[in-house]
Amino acid sequence: MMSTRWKKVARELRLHRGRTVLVIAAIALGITGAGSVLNTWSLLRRATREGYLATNPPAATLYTDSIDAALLERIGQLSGIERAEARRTVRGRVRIGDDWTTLVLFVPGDPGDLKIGRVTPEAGSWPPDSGELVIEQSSLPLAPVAVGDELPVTLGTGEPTPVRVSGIARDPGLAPGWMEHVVYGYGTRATLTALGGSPHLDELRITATADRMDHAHARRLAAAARAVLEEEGHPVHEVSVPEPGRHIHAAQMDSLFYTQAAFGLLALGLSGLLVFSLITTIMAGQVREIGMMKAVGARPSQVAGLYLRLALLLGLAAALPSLPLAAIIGRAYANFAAGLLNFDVTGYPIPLPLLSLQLGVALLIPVAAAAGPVMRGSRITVARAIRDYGIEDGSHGRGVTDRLLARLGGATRPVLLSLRNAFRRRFRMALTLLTLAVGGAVFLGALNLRASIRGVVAAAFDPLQYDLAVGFAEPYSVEEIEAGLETIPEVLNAEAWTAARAASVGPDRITSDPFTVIGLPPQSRLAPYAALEGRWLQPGDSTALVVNTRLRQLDPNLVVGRKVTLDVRGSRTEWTVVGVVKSSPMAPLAYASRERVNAAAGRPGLAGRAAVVTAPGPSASPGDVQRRIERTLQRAGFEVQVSQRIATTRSALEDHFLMVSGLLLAMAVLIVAVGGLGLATTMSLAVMERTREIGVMRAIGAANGAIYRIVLVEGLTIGLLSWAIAVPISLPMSRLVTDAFGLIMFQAPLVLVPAPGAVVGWLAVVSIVAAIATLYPARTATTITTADALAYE
Amino acid sequence: MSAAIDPGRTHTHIELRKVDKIYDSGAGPCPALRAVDLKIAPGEFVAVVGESGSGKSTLLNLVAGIDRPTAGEVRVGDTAVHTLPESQLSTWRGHTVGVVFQFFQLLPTLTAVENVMLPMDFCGTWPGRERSARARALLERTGVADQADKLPDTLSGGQRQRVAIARALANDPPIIVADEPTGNLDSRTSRAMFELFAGLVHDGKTVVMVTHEQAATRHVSRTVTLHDGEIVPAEARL
Repeated sequence: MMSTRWKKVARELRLHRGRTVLVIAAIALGITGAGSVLNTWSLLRRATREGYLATNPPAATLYTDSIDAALLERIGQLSGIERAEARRTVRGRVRIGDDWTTLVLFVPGDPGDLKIGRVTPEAGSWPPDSGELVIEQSSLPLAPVAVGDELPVTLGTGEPTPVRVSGIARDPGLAPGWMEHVVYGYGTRATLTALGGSPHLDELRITATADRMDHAHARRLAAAARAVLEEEGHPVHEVSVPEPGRHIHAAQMDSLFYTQAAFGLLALGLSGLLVFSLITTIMAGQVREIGMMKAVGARPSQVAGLYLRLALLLGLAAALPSLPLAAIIGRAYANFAAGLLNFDVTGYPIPLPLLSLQLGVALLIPVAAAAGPVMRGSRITVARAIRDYGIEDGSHGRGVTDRLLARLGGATRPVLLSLRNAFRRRFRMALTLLTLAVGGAVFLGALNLRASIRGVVAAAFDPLQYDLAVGFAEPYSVEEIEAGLETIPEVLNAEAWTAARAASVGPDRITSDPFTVIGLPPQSRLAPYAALEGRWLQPGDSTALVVNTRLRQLDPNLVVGRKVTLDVRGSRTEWTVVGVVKSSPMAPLAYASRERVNAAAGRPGLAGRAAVVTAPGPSASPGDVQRRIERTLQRAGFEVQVSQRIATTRSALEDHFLMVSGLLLAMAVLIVAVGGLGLATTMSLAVMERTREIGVMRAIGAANGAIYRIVLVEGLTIGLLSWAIAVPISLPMSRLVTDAFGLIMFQAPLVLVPAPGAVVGWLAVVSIVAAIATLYPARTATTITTADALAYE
Repeated sequence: MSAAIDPGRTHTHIELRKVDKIYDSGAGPCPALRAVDLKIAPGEFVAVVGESGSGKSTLLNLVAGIDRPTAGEVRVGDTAVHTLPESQLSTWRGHTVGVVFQFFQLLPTLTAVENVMLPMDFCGTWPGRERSARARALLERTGVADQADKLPDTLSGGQRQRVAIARALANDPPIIVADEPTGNLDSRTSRAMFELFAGLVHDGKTVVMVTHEQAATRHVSRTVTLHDGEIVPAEARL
């Protein structure tokens, strides 16, 4: 049989259902928020570490002209190299419906014996047979195909060839196709030949036998492999040594996790404070009962035990819905984030210790919050506990704030009442203000981050004066390209550009990570970047090199005025850095004279790409114009490998980054939800505590509308105050998130761009939140009858 | 304001007909008033007396529309108070009845003058610009004009009750009900209060007051005695 003490606990919970629900909701919200982030992190950590390493990623990739079996065997026998494999990567186009999309086709030497960068078959068959294609699953949103479908594929040489899709596979080593706006495919050398491509394998991928997480070791192995290739007469165009064990999108994941973990914990902390406030108020309401219990013989420890049990029950009640909810949200979010990283979290369980931790915290929050007030309450004397006052408890009007507020005028008494009431329970109000203001600051921070990201993207794209980029399957003469484009009616202006992969050569003759040098015509008008340092390219420049900020971050030696040696397709040439510009935030790029880049790459007078200014007619969409230009170029004998609208590239890049600000916004919503709950709690408690005052107001003529407005204006006052606090604290908050984002993504802080209208937008949001949070307490207040209120104790 | 809640300032008599009030308690129905018939003419000063639990406050609450009868009728002027919904009762009360409580019940966050202006704000009586002057005039009349801008918690008990009486007069209601207004005051202050209420009656107000004070009998025009929820006939008191 239930003891009387447990009966009291149960009845307290039932009697004050409203408060019970609020406490449970506050704990549940905090646990759900923080638990979701932790669960996501745990799932992603395992999936990415285990999943990525399970693919056996290459320690280094070297790009040369061709690799045969004998060469592979020789390199495979080098000390420290575990295995060497060769493959070829070609870009082509694949038709999906009526549109052509870029295809990146990977052709391993032996798809059936792929040991480096392994893929996981998900449907159909692996390896692909001759004339077949296996599609990487992250491309499916872009290319919704099924096993057995036939896709028209062209590598830019001749008519499209139908290729059968024989399977779907996952390659966690790739950035997702839907995000990169490309379709990834795997094929055989026979398929490549059938499509008109060269069957030579030109990528060498190696893995290390030991020290697999040692970047320097990987670089040494790459240098050894390069030496063998060059010794055998194969020029090495480029060497890529990625950070070992680190996925291509790991930085984005870190960025997502750390910001959200911080805000998840913040939400938990704020909900803890909310619970503290609620329990303090509950204890204040129990003073008389404590007095009575002590009067009939209860010891302080018995009283304390009673209320701590109550707190424990509240925690348990909150844990019951929040733990499964956090698991569901955590898994869903991990699935989403894994999708960004091209991983699969299916099959990974949430670790039991993590669930236990969440349960422990859920139980601990209310008990910890209750400990102080319970101890104080249990020590109160019987005489003090049973003393009663009217609505004037003698505490108001003594402090400076009360006296200052009493001087506040210029409004009607009901409005004054609302304003002054807002300041009566200052600790509770401060807590609500803090929660709402932090939510507001995170909200504004997320919007400012979004604006700053757009600012970075704008800095890269706004200077571009062309709207279509065309890439050719092979280089053509500059004159041919420009003349060919000028004959197309939809083309207003065009420039033939060239590009080459380059690496700067250090004093130790070790080359840096490769980057792209774009060769522009002497008087290019289509990419006039403003120089942050030094100057932009000028007519007559020969060895002048302009680097972008990203390249400068990666290679700090590239300072204005310094002479540098670049390795371009195996030949080394001298250049002078003349300027630094802000272009792509992620891709390291350099700009130079077209003639000089062509000379360095050993293909004078040629160009492989074109920047085109189009003139869409009234009846033709940009897509129609793009297709028309492609067709006209094809008919004129140019083999177009890829054409992409600048607007598409820009939105792809923005989408990439804006996910972080979107998820930050989701965290802000969570904190605002805690804040809204806090305000609802504050107002409910205020109405409860002022029941007698409401009765008095009714007794002197206040109708429902007047009572409703008094409560509503009080809630809105707190909302508006929180807005006034959120705006100034959003500045350091925005600085923090933009710096963190910039440092993680670009290794440099972002320039903070305030989001236009965000401050006003937040005012509207917080007003709506305040109005919603106050709705129920205000309605409750109007249902209090005068007789009940004046009889209320 | 609708006709149903017209305070009928000029001829506001109070009439209770066969009024029962029964409270529900855990121990079952608890009758507070039984078949009470009472008429109070305009301008009367009525003291309601009786032992603790005799139903004095209940009677007062029914007159003020704070509570409703279980059976019977409560009429004030032309208004059947017992039929008014709660939402209309507040407005009716604001215009018709000024209430004075034992524990003053001033709103602690409003100054004395603001407390007095509050009923005017609620009921929209008196133009906005005139409310402050009227409130100060009422505080002057009740003898606490110098305390007008202070918060209630900084005033003495007597001063608070004077502010509460000024508040009860804010909308110039024809009826003032007071529930033991001197119960928390010393005897000297209590005497001053009774004189204040007597002055109100002199000015044409109807005052119904629950009191334990013998001193009140010198000022009132009639005493209604309650015993176990019933009015004790005058002859029975002799």
